[in-house]
Amino acid sequence: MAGNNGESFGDIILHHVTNDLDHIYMPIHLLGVNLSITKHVIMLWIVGLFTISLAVWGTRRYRKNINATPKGLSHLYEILMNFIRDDIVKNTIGEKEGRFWLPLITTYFVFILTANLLGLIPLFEFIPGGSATVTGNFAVTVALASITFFSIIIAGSMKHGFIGYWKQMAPSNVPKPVLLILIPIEIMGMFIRPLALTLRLGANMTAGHIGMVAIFGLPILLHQFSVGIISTILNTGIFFLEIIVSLVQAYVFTLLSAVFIGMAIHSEH
Amino acid sequence: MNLFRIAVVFILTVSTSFASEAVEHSEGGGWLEKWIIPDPGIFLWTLVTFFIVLFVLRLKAWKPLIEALDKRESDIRDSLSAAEKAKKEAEAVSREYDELVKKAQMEAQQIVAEGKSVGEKLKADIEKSAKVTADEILVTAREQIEAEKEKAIKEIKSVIVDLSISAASKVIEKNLDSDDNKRLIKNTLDKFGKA
Repeated sequence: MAGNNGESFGDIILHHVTNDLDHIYMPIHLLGVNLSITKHVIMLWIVGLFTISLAVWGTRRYRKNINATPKGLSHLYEILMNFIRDDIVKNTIGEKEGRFWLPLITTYFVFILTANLLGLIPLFEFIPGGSATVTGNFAVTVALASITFFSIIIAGSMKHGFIGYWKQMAPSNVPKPVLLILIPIEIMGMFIRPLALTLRLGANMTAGHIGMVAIFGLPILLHQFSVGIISTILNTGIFFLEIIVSLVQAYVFTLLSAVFIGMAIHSEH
Repeated sequence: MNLFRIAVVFILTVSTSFASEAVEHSEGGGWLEKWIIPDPGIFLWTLVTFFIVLFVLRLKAWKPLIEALDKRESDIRDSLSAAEKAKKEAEAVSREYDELVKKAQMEAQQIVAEGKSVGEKLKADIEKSAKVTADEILVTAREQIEAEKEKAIKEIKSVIVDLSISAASKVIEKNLDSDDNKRLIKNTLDKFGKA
């Protein structure tokens, strides 16, 4: 591993879960922001391309014929869409408003799941600096959560009007002194919700990877071959756990985003 | 869970070595800071990538998929309600048919009953009229017989008168005024007849 080339284990993890500025493919600086094409940007594109091509290919039957019956991959997309629509969106956002938010929620799920699972595959080791899990990068999860953050405000404003949405931060049936505590809490809650989404996804995707590097780092640090065998067995188990975590975190992010958007729409109670 | 526990122990062991290394990397801060503080470049690239994915999928994948699912659902709902409607209609038709059959049976019974009563009546009428006719014929026959009888008696009487006159004239050989004689004899005979 890269650890042998003088890089520390911290660097290995960093390259995996943060924007690796040591390997820049195309430097771009725009308005003071470093928009250089790095390993993570390429991984993001790969995830995006993979998500798009799989979904577009999987749903091609329905574009040709609206009465098509599912077959092969389209079965999977139908099950996914039915699950997200009936079990997530309908229960949290509601049927009427849910129709507008359904594409976003579904895209969250497939995009995050693809990013999580592609991050598990060391297939991209040909990229200098090693593979990357974009969802383990907090910049990526912050971006995704900020989409949720603005979606919550947009959803609330669409339902109650822009001013009406903000007015609900201060319920009228509450005594004035309570509002002094309530309004800051509401405003904090507004930011804590996406922050929780950010940290949950990012930390979960990173934790497993750190664990795996730690376990693989041990035989290198100890110079013991036998420890390496134990590490391999342990990491195989953790890898399966990671697959489950990938699924669960994609689901949790999707579900919570839907719940938060639903809360903004049905904030009267 | 055990795996997790072991992993945590390893992380704790190895992370101490990471931490010491992290401090050494002073150019961009420690790796923890690098990890926690989001990079604005990746942040923007994520937004761009995600919105492109959302836009393409919304248009090319989710829209046709949702439309197909909706259409299938509405088709199923429609065919279910159509089946329900058809069932109800069939039930109504069958009920109507049953009623029609019942009505037809009743009518048939009525017709048969009516036919019977009409037949009975007709029979009775025919019998009655036959009897009347027979009675009339009988009466006429009797009257005719009576008339014939009377006619015959009259003829017999006149023959007897003629015979008596001829016999008497032969006996007395005197040709009396026949009209007077006739009256005489007739009167006598009438007297006999009355007696």
